Amino acid sequence: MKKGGAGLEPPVLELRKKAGNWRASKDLSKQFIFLEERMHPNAERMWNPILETMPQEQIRELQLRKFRRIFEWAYSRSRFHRELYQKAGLNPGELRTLQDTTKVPKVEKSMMRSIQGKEPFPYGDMLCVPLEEVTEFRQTSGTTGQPVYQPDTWEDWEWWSECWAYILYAQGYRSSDRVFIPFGYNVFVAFWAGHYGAEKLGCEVVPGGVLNTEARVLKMQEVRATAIMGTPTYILSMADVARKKLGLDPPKDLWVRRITCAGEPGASVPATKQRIQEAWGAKVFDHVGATEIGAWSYECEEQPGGLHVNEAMFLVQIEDLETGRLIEEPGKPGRMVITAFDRLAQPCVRFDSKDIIMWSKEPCPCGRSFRLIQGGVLGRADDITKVKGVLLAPTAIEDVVRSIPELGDEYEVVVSREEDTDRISLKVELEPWAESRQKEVLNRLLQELRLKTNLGYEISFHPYGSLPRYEVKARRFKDLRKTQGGH
Amino acid sequence: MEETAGQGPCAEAGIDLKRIAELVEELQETARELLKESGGIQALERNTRRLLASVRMLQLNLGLDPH
Repeated sequence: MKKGGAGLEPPVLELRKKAGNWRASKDLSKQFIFLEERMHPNAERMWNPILETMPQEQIRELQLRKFRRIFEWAYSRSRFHRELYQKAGLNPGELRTLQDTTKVPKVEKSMMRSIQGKEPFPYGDMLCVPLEEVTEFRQTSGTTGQPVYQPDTWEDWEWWSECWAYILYAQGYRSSDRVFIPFGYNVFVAFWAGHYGAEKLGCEVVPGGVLNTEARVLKMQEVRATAIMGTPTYILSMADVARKKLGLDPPKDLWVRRITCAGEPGASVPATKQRIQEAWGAKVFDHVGATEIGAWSYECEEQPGGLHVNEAMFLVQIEDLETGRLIEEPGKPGRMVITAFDRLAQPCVRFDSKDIIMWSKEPCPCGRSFRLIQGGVLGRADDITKVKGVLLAPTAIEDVVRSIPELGDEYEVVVSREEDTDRISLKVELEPWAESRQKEVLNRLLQELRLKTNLGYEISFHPYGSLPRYEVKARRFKDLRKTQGGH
Repeated sequence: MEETAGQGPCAEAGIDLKRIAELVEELQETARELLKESGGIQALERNTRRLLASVRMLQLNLGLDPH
């Protein structure tokens, strides 16, 4: 039996009554600010053209209204949020413009870690609903430290699959698709919501849970799966297994025509995307989401070199890495701070995701008014680092490695420091058929890396298949300076 | 509905099954109307179909024949 609640103090009860049960106002003239007389010509390619083609000015109005609502919700129902906001001298009602929202303190993952395990157990006082209303437990993958728990209500879970419905419909999934999910479903959120989003669209979903890679490929062939979802690393590795262990040529022997990638930036890295497309003979799409946030962005069928932010469900703000100033202009990378407007059990209000993104210069030809982030997630603030005084994004190295056909998919980058000098080494694998070309590949690699990253590397070649393989989130970038104490 | 709304434990507890059945029917009518009006917008149509599936569960649990 679950026990405990949100631990409210008496003065907050009035606010809580005001925040109510998250019901929509009955005054529809205030709620429904947009109604186009004519649908956009591409409306039939959108899950929800009402919101996806809403003019930007009206999106901003919607975002302000929804931000104020979730802020009030978190303030009135969670001790954690209330104390955070009171310390900053902020009260509900003081947020009058979107610019005002930048006064709201950011939440970092470390803050979430420090409260979990306390009452109401195991979520601590970020929880905004009674424990009895929590129906879903998930946790982060723990790539960057101790995993963070994420509670969701049944309604939150509906919201997750709704957000995924936007993604999949935009990528051309329809009810005629048979979607195979080659992923070991477990405590991580990965692909659970994709599963239910696909189901919501009317797709037939085949869960490929505990099977090994060979069995998954054979099952996909057996049922003629038309679409799959996975991390770019695993999708590439599946194609490799299909070819080398099962003697199958995925474009000819399988039926997959559409692949949605998540969990790593690979599907937005041009060379990786191209590798996956060629390996499968399928169109490859990127999507970015996170356990503590939700499914906030998606690539559409136009593939304009960026991802749409679902601005009706999320507020994405980009902050300058050094000054913290809000970046509205396109083409300037910064750190993402994100709010999920409609997630209620454990709200995500101004969460510092540490993802590096930038707004795109051009609107998307698909007709969606939701803004694009150029090139997807460019990296993590934790990973983007200065090496020999040069700012380095590990995705730039991946783009070079995977653009050279003689090299295998795997690689590893290690940055270290010796006598106050940074060293960067790159481990790669040669494809067995290209072993005689090592010298030629080395020269090309050094030249391309210098061009793209402005750095010199110590490169070593390793036997094919000897570098680590990953199914969930790959960690190919290691900065040893952090443990050497000199950085 | 008469047979379900008889003198059983629900009536003793003050639960008006006939009224509940009417409300469920109204829900069903509204959802069907919404489906007709959705104009092919998938976000409306697919969510309404789920709503209708829930209405059907209500009918099954009231001992009604869903139609």
